[in-house]
This record gives sequence, structure tokens and C-alpha cells, in this order.
Amino acid sequence: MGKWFGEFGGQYVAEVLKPALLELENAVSTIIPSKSFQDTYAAMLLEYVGRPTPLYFAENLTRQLGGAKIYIKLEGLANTGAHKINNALGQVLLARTMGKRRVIAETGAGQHGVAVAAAAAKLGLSCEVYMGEIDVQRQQPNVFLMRQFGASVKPVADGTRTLKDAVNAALKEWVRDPDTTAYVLGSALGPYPYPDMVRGFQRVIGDETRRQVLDQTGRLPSELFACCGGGSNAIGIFTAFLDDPVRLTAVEAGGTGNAPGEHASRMNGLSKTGIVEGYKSYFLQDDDGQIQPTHSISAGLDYAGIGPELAELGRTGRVVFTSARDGEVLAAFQQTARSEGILFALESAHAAAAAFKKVPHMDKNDSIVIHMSGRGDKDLFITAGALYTEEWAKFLRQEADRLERQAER
Amino acid sequence: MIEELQKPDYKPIPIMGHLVAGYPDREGFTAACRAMADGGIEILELQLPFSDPTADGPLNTEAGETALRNGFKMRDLPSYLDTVKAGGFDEIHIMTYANILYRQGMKAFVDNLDDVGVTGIIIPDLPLEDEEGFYAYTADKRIDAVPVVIVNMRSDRADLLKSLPVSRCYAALRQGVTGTRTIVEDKQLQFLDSLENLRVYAGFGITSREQIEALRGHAHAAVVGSYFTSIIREAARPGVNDDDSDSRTDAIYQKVKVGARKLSEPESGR
Repeated sequence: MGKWFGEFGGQYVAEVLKPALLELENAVSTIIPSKSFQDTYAAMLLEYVGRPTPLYFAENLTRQLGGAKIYIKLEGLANTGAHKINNALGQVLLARTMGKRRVIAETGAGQHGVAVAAAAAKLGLSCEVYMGEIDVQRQQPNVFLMRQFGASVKPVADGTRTLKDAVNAALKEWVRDPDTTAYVLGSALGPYPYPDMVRGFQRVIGDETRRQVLDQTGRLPSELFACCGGGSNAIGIFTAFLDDPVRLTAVEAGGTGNAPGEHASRMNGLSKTGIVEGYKSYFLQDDDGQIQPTHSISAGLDYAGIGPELAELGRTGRVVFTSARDGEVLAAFQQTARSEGILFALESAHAAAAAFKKVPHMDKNDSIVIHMSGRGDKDLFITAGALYTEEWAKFLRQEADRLERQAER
Repeated sequence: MIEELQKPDYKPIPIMGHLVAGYPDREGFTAACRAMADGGIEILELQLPFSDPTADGPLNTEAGETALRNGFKMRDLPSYLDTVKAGGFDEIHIMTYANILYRQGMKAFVDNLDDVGVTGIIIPDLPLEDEEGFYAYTADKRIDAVPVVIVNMRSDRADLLKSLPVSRCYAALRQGVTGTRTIVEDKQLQFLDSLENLRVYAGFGITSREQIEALRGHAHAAVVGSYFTSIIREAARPGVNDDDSDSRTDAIYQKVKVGARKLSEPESGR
């Protein structure tokens, strides 16, 4: 634990970033462990986030699949709809305690941006969210939400105009004004101390799950399933179980195929070790070391790198990696909705897809936990467009016409 | 100042000009390189494009993207180095990011460049902690690792620099990223003076003769980066000489040469 996870992690940044990171390192080791910080944070998790989130026995799915008992950690019931709020709230509280006046963040799908914007609104800091221009175009609902929380959304026109370019833009903005600004990173990656700090704020998911599953079943589950992009939800639920005889399965975005640009699976032999965005880990890259484009139906898993701790846990085999294709993910999304009345985020539906393949082959006395890291309301424009293409297009055209007519009046 | 410039023994501070390999394209690069040499630039910093350049400003970021989109590959490097040498540059520094070096293997990357007579390697995201053994490995090579430091770095950081087995350093004159203007003041100069026993290349936001003059006696060379990228971008802009590559290349050559002379010749640009 700390700066290195095996050979992965580190703090590979330009000297200009060092002062800000050293200040943050110091704050992480002095402020976060303090009683006043821990008490304030715990109270906000209870009252504002809505913790503990339920561990739910999915009776219907269990019956249908006819194998292990299926439990779902309903993290998507947290305020703002995903696990992202645990980390956003922790880092924004830290920023306020450090005396910063402003927080900046990167966001891809917009979930982390929404969480940071909400936390900043609650804690009274100004907030700017950097978002690739392409993501701004395809994630308008989250752009709208961030603005409602008072954040200013800054479209990034560099590079591929997606998440990694938003990270670069946010880092550069931080370098420009590190004295008044804190950079709130959204996943368990980037330069030290981020991977360590983000895991610290997310491990509450696994701590709760472990207690809940022991309460409800009297024993540990045989397997956990979590989706894995950068990996903050996966490391969040896995950490409490690392020393237990529990199989830990992380599910990556299988996309549409194995060719470069068709997926975001870093842990199945398609990636190589690299040093990018301040840390050493596995990255999808070409022979020259240029980062490759990625694809996933879920914007939150569409990332070329993976958090350094998960890279090491994958290398040692403690965490097993698999992937789910876009089509399997949509099917799992529909199955959980119809069988349990629960709407998974497309990211989390990757975990469900992998679990549903495995469960029928497991013993009925076994139990498994699927991590629903987020709920699926936010994906309406993607899921409706994929499942009811013509109807949805017609609806959108009608809405656009209606708005235009309204504007003319 | 004017009187001092007119002294017969006046020796201008050398300028290290920066070019991105493959930008704006192969021919445009050659023209810009030749123009820099003809315009009085003495040292060349050749940046190898990387997809995720965390320390570049918008201009050099875009230049790198353009080069990659045009198909720049690491296997093209020898040919770019030939172009730079043919332009008459003896002192060449390679600048790129850690992942490019790491992918090739740090030692192989260093050895290959050492073999072809490159003077220095600048990797801004390899920190002074020397986490890949880069500074230690280059210590007994002809080629030098050139760490990037910033003005007024904390004293423990400055001590770390002094403990490294390096003989050159690249000093960024202020915090921030490349591509915006810097005012050279006493605090920067005092910092440069504190870098004893190192050959100092000072830069970040240098766009005028005045700034370069201010560095005289405090740095061994002035680094000029996005100033040239901006000139090349303007000369290669879509819509200008689109259908005539000769006149486009010629425009790049002329504009870069004029831009270089403005910085390298004391009497012009005033």
C-alpha cells in the first residue's frame, strides 16, 4: 500500500506538478486520519449519501438461473446515483479543510463530474468540470445536472476530445493555480497519492458488503463481481475481502471485438505496461507507446488504462479479469430490470453479465455478490437508442420540433 | 542596453529551437528545420510526438496530434535526425514523454540515441526521484539526461537535483504549461544562478529578443518552443497554399527564418 503496488503506481509527473502533489500527500496523511475529518465524513455518508446502501437478495434471478444465490450491492441508490459520490465527497471535504476555494475535476461519462458538482454545492466550493467535447455532446443529461449543481462545465477540444484529454486539461489547470485549487480525481489511478486516497474513500463499499453478507447468510460469499474501468468501484468492494477465501472477479468492457478501438480490456493480454498520466500500469497502446482508442457501450469503462493496484492484483492472480461484450451487457441490463425491477447502469451491467454466465454452474449453497456500482437512469439515451432505435429517434425528433415551435412563439 | 549590444565582442546567447517531428508534415518539418539553422538558431530540441502529452500547451499538443495523425512512427526517427544534422545542427536534444522511452526500454532508448550522437534527452514526466534509473544510467554515457526543473522549486527538490549525476538541466521559468508568455525577472535569474555546475537551458514562454537578452549571463541557452510551432501553424494553415506544396513549404521556410532572425539578431525586431 502507498506509492507502489508491485512495480505499478508511482508519481511520474513533471516537476511543475510536484509541489501540488506533495502538499496533497501531506494533507492525506495528516487531515484524513484526524477525528474531526472522519466524524464529518461519516455523518455526511449517513445523511447525505444515504449509507449504508442495501445488500439485496435477488430471489427471482436466483430462481431463474438455478445456481448460486445472487446478492446485489445496490450502490446505485447512493445520492447522485453511483459510488462516485463516496470519493467526491471525501476529496471535496479534504479540499475545504485544506483551505482551497475551488475544486476542478475531469469527467468522461459525467458521473464523477456530477458527484463532484454535488459535493461542491453541498460544501460551498466553486467547481469546474473538464469534459472532452465529444463526451459533452453525447452526455448532455449529465452536463445539465452538473450545471444545476452550480458547476461550470469546460469542454476540452484537445486530442481525442474524451476522458484522457479531460484529465490532461484538468492537470494543466491545476498547475496554473495550485494554491487555491484542488484537483479531485475520479478513479483509483493517476499519480500517488490518488490511487491510495481514492481506494481509502471507496473501501466503505466492501466493508459494508462484508458485514451485510455475514449478517444475512452467516458466511462469506464464494465470489464477487464488479465492473472495471479505472477500477474505483472494483477496488472499493474488493478491498475488505482481499484476505478472505473469496474469488474476486473484475469485468472489463469487451466492446464489440478484440481489434484496437473496439474494446477497453486491458487485462486479457492486449495491453502492455506503460507510464501515462502520472502512473505506471497496463495501458492499451501500440508498439511505439501511443495510447490506442477504446470503445464500450458504457462511457464509464471506456478508458485505456487501469488503476495500478488492480493491475498488480491482476498480475498476481488475486483478482481474476474477464470481459463482457456490449450485446451481453444490454441483455443483462434487461434481465435485471424485468426480473427484479432494478435498473443497472451499463457499467455495472458488465458485472451482472459475467455473473449470469457463471451462476448456473455454481452450487446452490454458494452465494455471490454483484456490485451494482450505479443505476441506469443516466443511460436512457444510450439504452433506449439501442433497444428501441426507431421509436426513440421519432420521440427525439418530435421533442426537437416541439421545442423549436415553442421557441418561435 | 543598446550600447552593450554594440560592443564588438558581443556574443549572443545561443537559442535552442524546438520542433515536433512530423509537424506540420515531413516536407514542412524539413523546411522549418533548415529555416531555423539559416535564421541563426544553434541548438535543436526535437520533440517526439506522444498521444497524451501532460506538459504541453495547446499548440504543441495539437502539433503532436497532427504528426501522429499524419502517421509519425518511431521508426522514422533516424530520418528526422538526418534532416536535423543536414540542417547543420551539432547539438541536438530529444524531448518526449516517459511512455515512449519506457516502451522501447529505457536503456535501449538511451543507447540508440547515444550511438547517433544526440547530446541530451529531456523527459519531463520522469521525476528527479529517478524512478526508472534514467539519470543514473546516462551518467557514464556521452549522452546526457536533461532533467526539467522549475524556478523557485522547494529547497528539498533543488537538493535532489544537485544529488543527481547530471551536467545539464532544462529550467522552466515559471509554473504552468508551454505556450504562454513569460516575463523574465530577478527571481528567475537568481534561481538560474543557483544552478551551479550545470549547463542551463532556460525556457517556457520565450517569444522575444528582450527576454533572451535578459537571460544572458544566467543561462547557457534560451529555449524557444511554441513560438515556432505558432509560426509553422500559421504558415501551414489549411486554405493557405493548399494545392501547391512547393509554395507551402516555401512559406514555412520564409516565415520560420524571419521568426528565428527576430530572436537571434539583436538589431532586428526592434
